[in-house]
Amino acid sequence: MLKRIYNPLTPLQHLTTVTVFMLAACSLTYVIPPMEELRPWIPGEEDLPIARLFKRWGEIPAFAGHGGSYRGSTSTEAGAQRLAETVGETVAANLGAKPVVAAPVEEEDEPKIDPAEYAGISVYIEDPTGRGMRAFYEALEKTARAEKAAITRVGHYGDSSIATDLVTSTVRQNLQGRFGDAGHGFVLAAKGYIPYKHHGVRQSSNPEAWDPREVVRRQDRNGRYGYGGVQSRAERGAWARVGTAKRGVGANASRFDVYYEKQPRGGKFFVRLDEEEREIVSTKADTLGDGVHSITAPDGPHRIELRYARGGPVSFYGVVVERDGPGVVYDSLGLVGARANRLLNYDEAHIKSQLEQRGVNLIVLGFGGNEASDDRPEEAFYEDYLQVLNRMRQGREDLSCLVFAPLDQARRHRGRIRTLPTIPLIVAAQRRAAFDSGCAFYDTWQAMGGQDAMRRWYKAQPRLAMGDFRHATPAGYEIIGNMFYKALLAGFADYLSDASSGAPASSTSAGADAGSGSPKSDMPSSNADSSTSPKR
Amino acid sequence: MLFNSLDYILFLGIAVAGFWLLARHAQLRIIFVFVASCLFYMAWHPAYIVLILASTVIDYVVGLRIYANEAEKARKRWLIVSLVSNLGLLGIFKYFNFTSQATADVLWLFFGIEIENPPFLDVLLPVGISFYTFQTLSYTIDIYRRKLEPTRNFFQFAFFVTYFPQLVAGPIVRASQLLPQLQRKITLRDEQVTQGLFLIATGMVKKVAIADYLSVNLVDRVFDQPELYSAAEVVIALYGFTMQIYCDFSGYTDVARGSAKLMGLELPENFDRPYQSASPAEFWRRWHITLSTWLRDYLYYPLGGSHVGPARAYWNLWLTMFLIGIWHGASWTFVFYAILQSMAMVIHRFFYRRSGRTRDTVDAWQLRAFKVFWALQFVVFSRILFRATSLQNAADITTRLGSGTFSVAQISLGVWAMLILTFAAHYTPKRWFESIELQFKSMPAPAQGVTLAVVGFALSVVATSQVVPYIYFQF
Repeated sequence: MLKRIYNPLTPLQHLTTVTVFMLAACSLTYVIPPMEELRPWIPGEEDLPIARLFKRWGEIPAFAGHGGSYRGSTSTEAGAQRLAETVGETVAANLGAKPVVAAPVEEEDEPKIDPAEYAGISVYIEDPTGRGMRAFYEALEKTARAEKAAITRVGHYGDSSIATDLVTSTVRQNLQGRFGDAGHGFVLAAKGYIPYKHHGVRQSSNPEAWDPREVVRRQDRNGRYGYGGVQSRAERGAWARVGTAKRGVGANASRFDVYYEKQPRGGKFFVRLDEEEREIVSTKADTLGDGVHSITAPDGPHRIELRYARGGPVSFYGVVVERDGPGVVYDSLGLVGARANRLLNYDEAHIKSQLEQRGVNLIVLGFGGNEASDDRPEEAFYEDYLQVLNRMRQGREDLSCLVFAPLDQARRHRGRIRTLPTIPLIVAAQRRAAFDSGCAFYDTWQAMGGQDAMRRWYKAQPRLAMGDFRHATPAGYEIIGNMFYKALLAGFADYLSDASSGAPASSTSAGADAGSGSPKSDMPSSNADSSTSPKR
Repeated sequence: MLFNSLDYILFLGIAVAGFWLLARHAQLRIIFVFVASCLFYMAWHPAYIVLILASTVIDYVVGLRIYANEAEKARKRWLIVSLVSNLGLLGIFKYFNFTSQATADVLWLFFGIEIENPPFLDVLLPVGISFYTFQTLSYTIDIYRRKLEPTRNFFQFAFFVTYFPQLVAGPIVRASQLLPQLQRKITLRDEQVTQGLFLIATGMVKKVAIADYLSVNLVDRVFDQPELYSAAEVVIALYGFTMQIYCDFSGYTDVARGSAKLMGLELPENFDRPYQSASPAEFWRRWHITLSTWLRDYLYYPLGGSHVGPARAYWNLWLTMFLIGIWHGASWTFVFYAILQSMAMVIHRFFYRRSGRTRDTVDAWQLRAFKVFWALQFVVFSRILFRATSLQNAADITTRLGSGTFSVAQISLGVWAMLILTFAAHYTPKRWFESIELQFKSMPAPAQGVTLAVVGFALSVVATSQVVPYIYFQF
C-alpha cells in the first residue's frame, strides 16, 4: 500500500509526504508518555523555536579553536560587560584580576589587610566553630609580620579540578605575591603515567622506569601513599629531576626535602643538587616507615636529581621545594578521578605522620566532582566526608581544615543544561560534615553562581566551562582561584580585627560591608542550614 | 542559527515551503529567500547584516560598472573598488586585532620595544565573512575577466551572496555556479528530494553524533589541559580532532547541499574523503575543495602558476598555500600552520618533479597505502597548530607528546569505538556509503519521513550539549 502511495507522487508531493510523516512521528512524543524525553520542544519550558534566537544574540559560546585569547575578549569594557551579563558581576570581576600586593612589612609592623584587596566576592569562608581556620590564620599572621622563617603551609587535596593546578597555582601566586614566596612546596618526584601538573616547576623523568601507586586506586596494600597520595616506585634506571621555575614567583629555592619510604628490603638512591657531587641515600630500615632527606643551598635557582642506585625497591612520595621564608607555600595535591572517600585508603598513622612532617597549617579538601555521578543520598555523602575529615585531621587543633565544595556540574536534560541534582546534596553534606568536625567550608558552587552556573559559564565569552559540563576552562579555574584567595584574605582580615579587639575568633560578627572595612556573608538562605548558619 | 538545532529544521521547512508556494512568481520567491537569508544571518547578530548588505550593493554596482566600461583602465579601477572594499572588511574584522598584537609582539621580541596596549577593536568576527567575501569577489573578478555577464536583477545577486545554506561556512559558491541556476526555471527532481533529505540527515549525524561527541569527550579536554594526559592520549586526541573537524565541516557542507537540493538548487562538493590522500597536494584537492580551487583560479593561476621559472613557480605555490592556511584564522598558530602546510607543498612538489612522476602515474597499492599513512600523520600532527588556542598551548601539547607516557586510561570505551568506527568508515569504498543512500531512496515517502524522525530522536539522545557551534563558523 505504501508503495502505491509513493509511486504516483510528484517531487513536491514526495517532499510534503516525508514532512507530514516526520511531523506525525514527532507528534507521537507528545501523546505517548514513554516518549516524553524525545520531545523536540517543550511548550512552557522553552522559548518558541526560531523566535528565541532573536532574544539571545551573541550567546553562541566561543570556540576555543578560533585562535582568540580570552584576555583579548575581555580586555575592553564591552567585553567585560558582556561577560558580567552572562555570569554575573562577581564572577566576571575575578577574571584576570590582579591581586593587590601589599608593601613589604617589617617584623614589628602590625599586619593589615585593606578591604580593597578582597573586594569583588560574594561568598566567604564559613567557620561557625572558629576552630576550622584558626591555626592557619595564626600561622599567616606570623608570616604577615615577616617573622623570621615563618612559613605558612597549605595542602590542597582534590579531584581533577585541582589536579590541573590552575585553581591552586592562582591561589599560590596570589598568596605568595601578598605574603612572600616560600617556594613551590610539594611536588611528586615522578608522575609516571599519572595526570599531574605543578605550574612553574620544571620536572622531567623517564616514565617507563616508574611505577606509581595511587591512593585513588588503592594500589599499595600498606596504605602508604605519602603526603601527595602517590607513591612513585623507582625501577632500575629510573631518574627524575625537579627544578625551580625560570622566572617569576617560584624561581628560587634554598631547600629540597626528598620524601621516601623506608623498608626492610629498601634499596639506595642517588641524589644530586645542580652539578654537585651526588650523595647516596639508603632506604633500608628495620621496619616500614617514612624518611626525609634534606639538601640546603643558597637561595637561588636550583635543580635536584634523583636516580635509582641499587639494592631493593626504592619508593618516593615527593620532593619539597622551599625557601627560608617568611612566606607562603601552597601544595597542589590533586588526584584525577578521586572521590573524597579514597583518602580512607591511607594508613591512618602514615598520613598523620606525613602531615606532621610536612608541617602544613591548613588542609583543603576539594572533592565532590566525581561523587556527582553517584546516585546516593545526602546522608551517605555526609558519612563519607565526616570519616575523611576525621582521618585527615585526627583531632589536631594545630591543623586547620577547610572543605572546598565542588564546581557546579550539569547535564543536558530536555534540551537544557541543568545542574546535576546530586550537586546541592553534596554541597549540603559537605557543609554539615565540615562544621560537625570543626572544619571550615567554602561554597565553590555558590561562588560560581549556584544552580545552573555551569550553563552560564559554558555560554560565557570567553568560555569558562568545558563542554562536558564538569570542568572549567583555564579562565574559569582562574576565576575560582581568585575568588577563593579573596575569601581567605577576607577571613584573615576578620581574624586580625578580632585579634586586635581581643574577641575570640569563633565569635566573629557579620560586620559591616566590605567597603567599610569588613565583609559580610551573603550566603543565600536556601543553602544555609539554620542550625549551622554560616559565619566567618 | 546553527544547522544542528530544531530552529534550523523549522526554518528550513518554512523557507522551502515558501519557495515552492511562490513557484509561479519567480522574482517574489527570490526576494522571499533573500529576506529569509537575512533573518537567518541576523539570528546570530543583527548589526552585522549591514556588512553583508554593503558588500552586496558594492559588488552589484561594481559588476555593472565593469561590464559597462570597455576601457581597461576604468574596468581595473572598478575592480580595485571591489577588492579594497571586500578585503578591507575582511582585514578590519578578521585581521586587524591580530596584526596589531603581532606588530607589538615582533617589536618586543626583536627590538625590545614594549607596547602595553596595542590598538584593539572591540568587534566580533562576523560569522561567514571569509566565505561571502570570497563569493562576491569571484563575481566581480569573473566579470572583469569577461567570463561572466553581470545580472541586472539585484535580488538575484543578493540571493547569490546571502543564500542561507552556504552563507556562514560555505561551500564557497561562485556566481557562475549559482546565478545561471536562478536565471532559468527552477524545478525539483525526485532524486533531489531524496538526496537532499539524505544529505541533511548524514550531515546532522556527522556533526551531532561524531564531531560533538569527540569534541566534548576527548579533544576539548586534552587541549584545555594537556598536562593531565599521557603522550598516547594526546596522540589519540589529535586523531580525534582530525576526525572531529572533518565531520564538523563536511557535516555542515552536507546539510548546506541537502538544503539547497530541496529548493532544486545544486551547490558544489567540498570534500572527497580527504584522509585517503597520499600527499599534501592531494589532501588540499580533497579538503575544502571550493577554497583551494578559488585560490588556485583567482591567485595561483594569475600569478603564473607553474608555467613560469622554477623559483617563481615554487613561490606561487608557497604563497597560495600560505594564504589558504592564514585564511583559517588570525593568530600566530595559524601563521605557523600556514607556513607548515605551504612548506610541505613546496617540498612535495620538489620531490614529485625530481622523480619524474606525472598525474597519470599509478602506484602499487602497497606503496599508495604507505603514502596515505604518512600523509595522514602529517595532517594529524599539523592539526596541533590548527586546534591550539595559542602557541603556548601548541607547545604544551608537543611537550606532552614527547613525555614518553603511554597510559590510555583516560580514553573511554565510547571514544575508542567512535574513533575506530569513523576512521574505518572513512577508508571503506564509496559505493558502500552510496548503497545506504540507495536504500533510503528506495523507501516509500512515509517510511522516509519516519526514518528521518527516528534519526532525529536518536541524535537528541546522543547530543552532548544544547548547541555546539561549527568550527568553521569563526573562519
